[in-house]
Amino acid sequence: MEIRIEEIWFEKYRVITRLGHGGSADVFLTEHILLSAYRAIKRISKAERLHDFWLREARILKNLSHPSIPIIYDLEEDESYSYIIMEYLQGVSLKTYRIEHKITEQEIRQITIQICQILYYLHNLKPPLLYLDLKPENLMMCGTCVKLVDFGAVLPKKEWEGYKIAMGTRGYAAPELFQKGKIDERSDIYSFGMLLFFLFTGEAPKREKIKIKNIDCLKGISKEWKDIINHCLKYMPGMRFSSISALKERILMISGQTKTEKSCRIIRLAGLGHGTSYVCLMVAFSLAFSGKKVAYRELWEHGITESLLLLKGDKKGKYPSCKGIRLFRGEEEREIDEEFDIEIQDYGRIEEKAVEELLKMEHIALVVGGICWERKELDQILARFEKAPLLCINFISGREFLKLAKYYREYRCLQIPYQPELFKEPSGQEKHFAQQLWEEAGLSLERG
Amino acid sequence: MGGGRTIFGKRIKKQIVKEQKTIGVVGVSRGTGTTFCTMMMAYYIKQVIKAKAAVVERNVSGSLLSLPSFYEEETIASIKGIDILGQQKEEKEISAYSYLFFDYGTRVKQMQETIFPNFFDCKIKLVTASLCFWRQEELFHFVETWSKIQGNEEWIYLIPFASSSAVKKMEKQLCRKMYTVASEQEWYRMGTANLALWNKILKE
Repeated sequence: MEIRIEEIWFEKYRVITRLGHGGSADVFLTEHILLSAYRAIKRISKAERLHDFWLREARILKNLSHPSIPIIYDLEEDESYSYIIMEYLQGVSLKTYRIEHKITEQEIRQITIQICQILYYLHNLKPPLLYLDLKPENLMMCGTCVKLVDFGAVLPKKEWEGYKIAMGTRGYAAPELFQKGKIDERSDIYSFGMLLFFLFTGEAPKREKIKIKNIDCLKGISKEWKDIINHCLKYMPGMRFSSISALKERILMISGQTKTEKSCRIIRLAGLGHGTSYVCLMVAFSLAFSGKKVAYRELWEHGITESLLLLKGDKKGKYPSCKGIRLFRGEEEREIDEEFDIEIQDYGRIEEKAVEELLKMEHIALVVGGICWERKELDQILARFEKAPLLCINFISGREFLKLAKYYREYRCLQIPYQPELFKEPSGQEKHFAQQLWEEAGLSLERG
Repeated sequence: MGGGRTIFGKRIKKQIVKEQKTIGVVGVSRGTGTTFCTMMMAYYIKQVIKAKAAVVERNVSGSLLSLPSFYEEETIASIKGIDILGQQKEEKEISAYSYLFFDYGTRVKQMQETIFPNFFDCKIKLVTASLCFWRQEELFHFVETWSKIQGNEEWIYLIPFASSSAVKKMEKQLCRKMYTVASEQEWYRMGTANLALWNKILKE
């Protein structure tokens, strides 16, 4: 239907111009006559097959409140169309911005941190929302602020199983969106990785080409950023960053600006008899070696702290410690002048009574083996967890680890590196593993 | 593992096993690699010695019994050509195997049961243990507990992932035969160190 400029809708909105056409909706710039304020109006035809689906966007948006998400003011309709009246954002799409401006690494960092904050907000709503269409066209640069628009593909996380329509944009959308696999926050993280690729290269992923060239070969991008992109773009969700918080933490680290944390991170490790305590100490030592203040707490009666103090205790430490790691037993309290970056809690082997307590906790890492005859026991334990633990798989080859990670694709899986000598200078693999647990423990700060 | 007919260049003839060999394996505590080592040895026998081997799960809560084949009340499972036998097997059925590995897990009590050949009747008696310094006490306790049993000095202790020097030191201290089991990421792929170890322990 032909729209005349200056036409008045609903006795309130004067049409100024058509801003664009996307999918099955037109967007107009209008002016609220009484308030003298601009409004963007999205008009959707009722004859449109996806009409109800687009109205969902309005219903979802009206409950959101975030400075980077446009406000929904009202919803109107006539015989032929529905109209969503929303905040008018003055700016250009991130795509246009990238094409027209020379963008620095510092700017990319600032933009991506803002995007992380928006996604964090969505993923932590009750119920959590998945955005599922992250791409530069759906992000607006309004000055230095980033705004997220077009919530047509948003999905409440719990509804992923009924997801019948393949949404998202090829090239940016995670593989599982087109393969009817399980969808969660990590699907947005994949799109984030593609977005990062675009920001650095200016090259949009081709519609029909999901895979892109080797990230490590790209020039002009620092190793830290390449690592982040690679980590986001893992084919299997379990191999990507487990959350937006972990991703944001990594980005913040790039310029050395980590969050100033007075609080201590906590990571809890428990296991099925595959070297849980050994892994705890290996990680503790690796982090202590890198300069962090680490506490190890033995929460099962196995005499580890006693043995450590007896055989390898630090002679000159003010408090019981070993190789720079402060040792605690049971519920011993810290001294008033003690502060730590991280506390590693060792729950040892999961026994029946301990399981009930652990099932309700967050930030649990399970140390498990990968052999076929151990899988039933593991499946039984995992079925009882309320929150999916991180799976750290010990005594396994790289090839078998990939098979297992695919089998346990709903979980984040890490391969524990082989280290026969505790307290030896950590290898690159150990440092990487310890770093991943450090990031996982970072979630304990976000959520308190 | 490939054809496996040679170790260090010396051709191994297919062994004609005249008498069934029974190997009992028990762990000092959980998580010492009892089942892993047992399966490795059985696979070695099958692939290198080319003899028929089976593993009998003697531990009522043994992880081998959780294999899918046992769900349907089968009494035999198979992994990579190694037969895993549930506990209730007729004697005539197990006599078909040249090498029988009995996995006792950590159930010391079951070592003494008389239903099947118990641990003490096995021709070769193996014990798995850990030398992590916070687990050494378990090993000392085990050695002391069984020190009165005749022939316990001949039991062989297998220590996965320990260094040779640590194992030698403990061997001297406890006056028991001890060997380090080199780390393997897959029980059916063995390096020369473990091939040599099994050759030494299991040979005729």
